Amino acid sequence: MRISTSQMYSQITESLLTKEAEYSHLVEQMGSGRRVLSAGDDPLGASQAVNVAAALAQTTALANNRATAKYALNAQEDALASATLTMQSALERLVYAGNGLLNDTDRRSLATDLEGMRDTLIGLANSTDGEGRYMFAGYDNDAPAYSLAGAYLVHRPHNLTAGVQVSQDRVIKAGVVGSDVFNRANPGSNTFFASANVGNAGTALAGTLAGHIAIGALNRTVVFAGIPGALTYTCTRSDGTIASNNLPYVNGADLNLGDGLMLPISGQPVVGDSFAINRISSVDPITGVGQVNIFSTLDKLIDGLEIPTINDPVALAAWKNTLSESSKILQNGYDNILTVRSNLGSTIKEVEALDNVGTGSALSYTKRLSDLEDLNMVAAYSEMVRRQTALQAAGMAFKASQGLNLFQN
Amino acid sequence: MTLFQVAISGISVAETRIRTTAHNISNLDTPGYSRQGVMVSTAGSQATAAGFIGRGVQADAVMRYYDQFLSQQLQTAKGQGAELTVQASRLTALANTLADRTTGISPALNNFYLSLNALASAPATPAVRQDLIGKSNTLVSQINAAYTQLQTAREDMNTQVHTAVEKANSYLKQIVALNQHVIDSRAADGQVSNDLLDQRDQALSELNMIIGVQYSTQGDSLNVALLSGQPLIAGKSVFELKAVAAAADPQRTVVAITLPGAGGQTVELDERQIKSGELGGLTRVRSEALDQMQSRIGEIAIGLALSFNAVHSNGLTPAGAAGGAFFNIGMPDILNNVNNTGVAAIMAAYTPVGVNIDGSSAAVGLTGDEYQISFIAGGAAGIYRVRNLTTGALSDLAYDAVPPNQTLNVDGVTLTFAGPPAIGDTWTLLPTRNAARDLTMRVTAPEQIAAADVVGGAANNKNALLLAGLQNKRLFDIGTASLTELYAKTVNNLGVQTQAAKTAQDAQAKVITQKLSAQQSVSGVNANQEYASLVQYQAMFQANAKVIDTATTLLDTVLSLKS
Repeated sequence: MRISTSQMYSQITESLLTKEAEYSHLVEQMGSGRRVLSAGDDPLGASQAVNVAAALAQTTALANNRATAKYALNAQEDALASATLTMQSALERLVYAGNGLLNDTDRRSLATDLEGMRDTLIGLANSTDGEGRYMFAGYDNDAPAYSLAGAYLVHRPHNLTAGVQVSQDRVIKAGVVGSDVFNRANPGSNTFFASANVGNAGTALAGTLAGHIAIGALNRTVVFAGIPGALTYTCTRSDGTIASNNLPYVNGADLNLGDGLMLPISGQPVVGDSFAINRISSVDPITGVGQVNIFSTLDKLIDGLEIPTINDPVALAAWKNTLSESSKILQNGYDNILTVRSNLGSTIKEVEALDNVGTGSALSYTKRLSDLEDLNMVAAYSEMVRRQTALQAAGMAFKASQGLNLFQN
Repeated sequence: MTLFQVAISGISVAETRIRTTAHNISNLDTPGYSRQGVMVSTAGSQATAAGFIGRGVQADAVMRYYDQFLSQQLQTAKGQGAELTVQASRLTALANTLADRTTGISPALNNFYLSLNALASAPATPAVRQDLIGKSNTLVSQINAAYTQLQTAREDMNTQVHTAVEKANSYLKQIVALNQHVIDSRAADGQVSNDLLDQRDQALSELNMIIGVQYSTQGDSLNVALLSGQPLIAGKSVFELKAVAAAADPQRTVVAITLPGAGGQTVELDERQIKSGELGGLTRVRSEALDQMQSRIGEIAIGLALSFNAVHSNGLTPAGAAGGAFFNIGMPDILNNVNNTGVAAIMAAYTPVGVNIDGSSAAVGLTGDEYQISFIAGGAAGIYRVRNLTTGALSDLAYDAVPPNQTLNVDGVTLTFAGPPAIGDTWTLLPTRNAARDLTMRVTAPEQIAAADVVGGAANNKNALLLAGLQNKRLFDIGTASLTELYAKTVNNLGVQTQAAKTAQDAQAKVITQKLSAQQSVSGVNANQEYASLVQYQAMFQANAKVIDTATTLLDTVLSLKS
């Protein structure tokens, strides 16, 4: 085969250029540490890398979300741990307040104690996060969750907490709203409590309701009638039906209020005295006003402690009724806070468990991305040495071919 | 016939051979040059009583070493090589600019979703809202930048089509001129200059590297036609090429031919007719890669905007106002063919995307494809024919003969015709070709972000959760891909094309080398061979000179006898 001189030269040049280009591509790969420099190098790998990088970025986003959620949950948990301690002290004070031997000075100082605890609890309910946002105020966290006096409740149009995406398919509530903590009946409570009418003129004391209470039993009112010495009582359900009619009152015995409700009453009521028997619930079904409200319940106690009871059996009876009613409500509120804390705790646990999963998948995505894109340096180095040799050989071939030209001899 | 004459015939032939060898050596590296040689024969003989005595040698012709079959094969291979080279280099440039996951749209999209997740976790924090504005701006500007890069490539290709057409025309003119020279040369000398033929072949080869051609000889003249059969040179007629804006799509510079004669009419060539050569490569990259890329990036832009806007406008800002659109978008391009005769004013709009019951976005109907719509029958049974230019699929839509407005739905685009079209009218629908250019932010301030659902509230993040959830929703390409997957598909598609073009280019380079070797084995000049020839013909010259010397001696001897 005849070879033309120009083709021989151009072939050698071509092969030098090709080898140089391959070499420089390798150097570029080694410099960047990446095997895939452009989609054309590995189309499938490059497009998978786009998806894996997105998945990796998403695990980062979810990890950030979880960190935010944990921060919010832990902040609430911290506040509620303090609230639990304060509630415990308050309940202890109530036991002490039940001691009939207290004089009015003792009672006033007890009132001061309770005022301090109430303010602590209000402070905790209105506690703010690092950004000054009210953590128990739900969607409207730019304003306090509770007012500092009166009924304490602020009108919250959006009484909901924000959900946080903590994993691909799990949105958790990152916290609770105040109304689920400080003015909610402990979920599942089926207890009733008796409240003496403020106008009661007798000394009747309501005890703790007993009996097998029928499911769905309605709130009701019991009123005393008859003549002194032969009192009777009549219990009317909230729907107007009569639960028990004109039964004789026996001091110290249980009143039969129908539907399995038995209320022990001692002392001497007068005609017209009445007690309301209501189910403990977050909102009174009749009035729509919250029954279980830790702050206003404490206020009621504080107010009660301010009224002297020395030598006034009627006032003493009213105080004792207030104390027993309030104790039940506060105990229920305390139980509720414990329930909330237990929920928070399990949510925190869940987020932490997801953290472990997230870290694992982030690692596996990083590994996958590295497999897809990164250069095997050892292999690349040996490849470089091989190409250097090839490049040198091509150069030598060029030099040698010059010696083959007869015109030079 | 004297001894002198015999010797001189030898000297003369030796000299012709040396000159031809010198010509070969001096054209050692001339493109298209074919090695020349001298055909010699004996000059016959003279009858004597003793028999015939030779009269020496004579040069019959200077011929070129040329094999038409091998040359044609090389030419075809080089034309395909030129096509693949343009393809590979254009595709590589596109792949390098768009397909790196560490720059451009892909990281911008990831950061955008990161920021959205942060918003969903802390909707009331001003810094988080500001961050989302920043990240959205980055995403929008990356999408805009991708468009600009592609559009620059498109304009660059248009310029290259212009330049290539000019070059092709200059080669056409050269070939016609050389045709004439060859004819003249034959008429004047009875022979044709080998160098003229080489020049004409070379011009043909260069033309073929620009646009694939076939040729035939008619006497001494060369006729040239496109591979599709469209003549470019027929006898003395030349059909010059012209770069024109396409009738169906003015953004696209296409090749047309001018009919011969003064004020010749211009006829646009079907792009499928242009095969091989630089123009073939450009046409293919444009229709198979660039159009798709640009429409895909546009589909990402519109898909993002429509789905995001649907959810965002459903939400409330911290002030309780309706969210409205988050992104602004333009309109789909619908291009009237310049040859349309009907009066149908036509408007195209993206079909709005609704929300599901849970507030998340419904699927986006766009496909990233491009369409041609033709009105093929009027009256009560009128038909619009929709051809998907990307997939080739055909579908017919009914014509509503009752005025005033006719609405057509074509894959996520709603077309409204006001007034009747004429039969034969066509339109090109490019739903997302320029969409990435028109994507802008409508929401520009943190307090305009609607993170809340209809309930409202500063820390309400219901809507933000839905917005962040769009990341994994397969709302695009008929419910098969998320935005990230759509982008990955685009990267993959471009990568596959680039890789295929590079592989084909490498393979073609080997084919060209083989064909070149075969052609050069006949036509190439080998310096060493020519050196040997020089030595050989010099010796021949010297030997013949020696004969003259001998003849002189003989003559002198005879003359000295007489004295």
